[in-house]
Amino acid sequence: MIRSRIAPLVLCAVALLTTGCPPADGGKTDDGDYSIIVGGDGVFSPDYVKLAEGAAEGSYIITPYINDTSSPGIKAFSEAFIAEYKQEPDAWAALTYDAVGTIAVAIEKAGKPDRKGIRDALAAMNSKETGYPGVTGVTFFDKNGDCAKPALIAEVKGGKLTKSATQIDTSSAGEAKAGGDKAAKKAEGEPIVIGVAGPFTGGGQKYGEMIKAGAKLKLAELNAAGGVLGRPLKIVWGDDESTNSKAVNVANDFAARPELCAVVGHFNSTCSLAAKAIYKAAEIPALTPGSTNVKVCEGSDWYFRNLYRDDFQGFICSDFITKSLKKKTCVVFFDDDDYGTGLKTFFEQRAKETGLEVLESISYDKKSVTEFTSLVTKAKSKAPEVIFIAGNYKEAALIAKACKKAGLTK
Amino acid sequence: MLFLEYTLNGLNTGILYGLIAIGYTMVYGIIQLINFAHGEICMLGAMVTATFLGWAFGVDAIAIPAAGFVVFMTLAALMDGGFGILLDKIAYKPLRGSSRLSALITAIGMSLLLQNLAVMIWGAGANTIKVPEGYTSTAILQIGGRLGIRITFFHISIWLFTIASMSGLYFLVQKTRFGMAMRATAQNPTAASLMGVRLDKVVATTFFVGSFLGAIGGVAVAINKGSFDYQIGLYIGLVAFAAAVLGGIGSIPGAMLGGIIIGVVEAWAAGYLSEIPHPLVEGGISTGYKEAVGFTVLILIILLRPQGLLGSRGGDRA
Repeated sequence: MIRSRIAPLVLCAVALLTTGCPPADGGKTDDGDYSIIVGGDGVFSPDYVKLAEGAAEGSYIITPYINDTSSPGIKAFSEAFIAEYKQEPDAWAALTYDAVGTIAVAIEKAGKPDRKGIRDALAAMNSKETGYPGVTGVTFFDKNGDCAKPALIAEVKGGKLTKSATQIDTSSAGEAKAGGDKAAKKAEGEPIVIGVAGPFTGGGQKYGEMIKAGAKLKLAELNAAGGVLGRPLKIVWGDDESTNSKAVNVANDFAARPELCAVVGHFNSTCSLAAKAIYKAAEIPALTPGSTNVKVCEGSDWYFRNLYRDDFQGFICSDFITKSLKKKTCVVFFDDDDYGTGLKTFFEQRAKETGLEVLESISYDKKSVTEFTSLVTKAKSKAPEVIFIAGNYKEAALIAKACKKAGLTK
Repeated sequence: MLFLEYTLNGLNTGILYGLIAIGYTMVYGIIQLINFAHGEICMLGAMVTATFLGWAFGVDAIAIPAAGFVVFMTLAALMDGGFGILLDKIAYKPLRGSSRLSALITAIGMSLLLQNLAVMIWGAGANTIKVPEGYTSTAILQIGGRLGIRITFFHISIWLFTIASMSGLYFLVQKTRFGMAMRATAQNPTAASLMGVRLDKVVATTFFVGSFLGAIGGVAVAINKGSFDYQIGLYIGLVAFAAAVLGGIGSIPGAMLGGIIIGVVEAWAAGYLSEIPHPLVEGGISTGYKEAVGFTVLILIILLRPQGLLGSRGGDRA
């Protein structure tokens, strides 16, 4: 039985081994240039570069923040962060750092740790003047709770996420300011409690690690400078593991704590969308440092964000490809969740308007995908100039690796 | 040409599913237990290999010597075989003779336990297995230019390993005295033990062989995918279990055949699902369903042939 089944296989293997032709030469071939990878901001994480093991080199990634130490405000933050955690902060650490700062200011403005008062104080931050100046620019909200912040382009160079020389024309990042210029005094009394929710374990763990680090750094700075309203600030952590059901559990847990007055989170759009209704019902103000799906702040006066939305991001990604890279064809890989499909939709809409041809849109389910070889084979058959990834860093790294193995990217 | 490439991709993943499915099918053949912790055993194999390679060549090593890779992977796989035996001794042996349902629940419990143990030891983040330079990227054979079909050392090595292990298993089960004991146990454990077959030895060997192949399969799946974490056993185990059922649980060639069918169908689905028009969505049916298609094929085949492709209705298993 076995012998008859494996015989053809053996023949195949032997035939392939003996006829073996020379390996493909590097550089250009008649198939045209190598493709370029462009990633949405979900790809922006040091772990994208680490997991892709060299295959990430040359990728461009859209991001709300780059650790560009030529700006004085960022330099101080970056140095403090590196001293504490021995690695550079990424966008999510910086946005969480600012989000905790924003909440602290809102508590000060409200005069007491009161949920309604904090929400009103956040809503009152409605212009550049009244907003919160942080390392990611000025955070201020429109009446929806959304925030207009510019997008930057990062490039993977020499195994590091660096600011790309090619930037798309969006107004440059707001003037970054170092926080905490208050005289140091001791914070006393009952602590003021806020919740920070994010994917501290599970598939998005690196995001969670950075969120925790950013929040802790701001917490330490605030408490060293006399706390909030003279009282120490305390953070309660909520691990949503990037899943909706866990996000709902975390939100219910936060809602059940009467002393908890505000939430920073959630990170994944899909988690924010799942938890939104609970915060609204419990009247807890929430500020997300990462969810970009357009619907996140819609229909709730209690949900805010301190970065751009996916419609803006999708437009920037498409314009970057057509205007800065001057490419005309692309294949899109997108995660089959709220973030991936949302970003892909706006990307395609803009692509259609500007004549960027989307040759194929390939979706994947991050919970079950076993490997990307065949999906990349599909992309390869279209020979695109650009591969756009609307997903998270972990799957993006696998796609980058599979593209390199397939000879699609250098 | 493209069709050929999808099929080849599917074959490459399929034989890995098959290697893992052998662990399910052998254990079921001997003690009629669906060992749901087998996926986690494969995950442990990959974790231990990654750890060994990290110790030996440094965590940041870019390229590692081929001999070192083979030695440490084999060591890890042997150790994983030991884990398999240990799993049986700790969790399943005390329940031998009790109802099959309690053993099944224990298997699910062990699966969860091993996952959480892995999180405690290795963390929840993604891991990679370092491979020798050019192992997965240098083309031995390239058909049709840079974007054509590319066959690498990795592919050749998993093919050769699969052929060798299938032949070895055939020899072990069909040609040796010990294999005869295994087949006898599968048919009737009571009668076999009355004839002097040492049941514990047979069961332990079964767990060892299944776990050893599972570890190699786990390592290859992790390399093929690009990275892995503690959850990799969960889904891979599910697919491999489906492959074992599809091929006829209890049959070793069936497990390999089932694995190949599921792998190839998944690859075809990845390639052609979006060509099928969707009534509501522009751009055809989502490729995100590629994994679901494999299971659909399983359901169809089980409807037509409940015992699986190469399975037998009677007790002639192993």
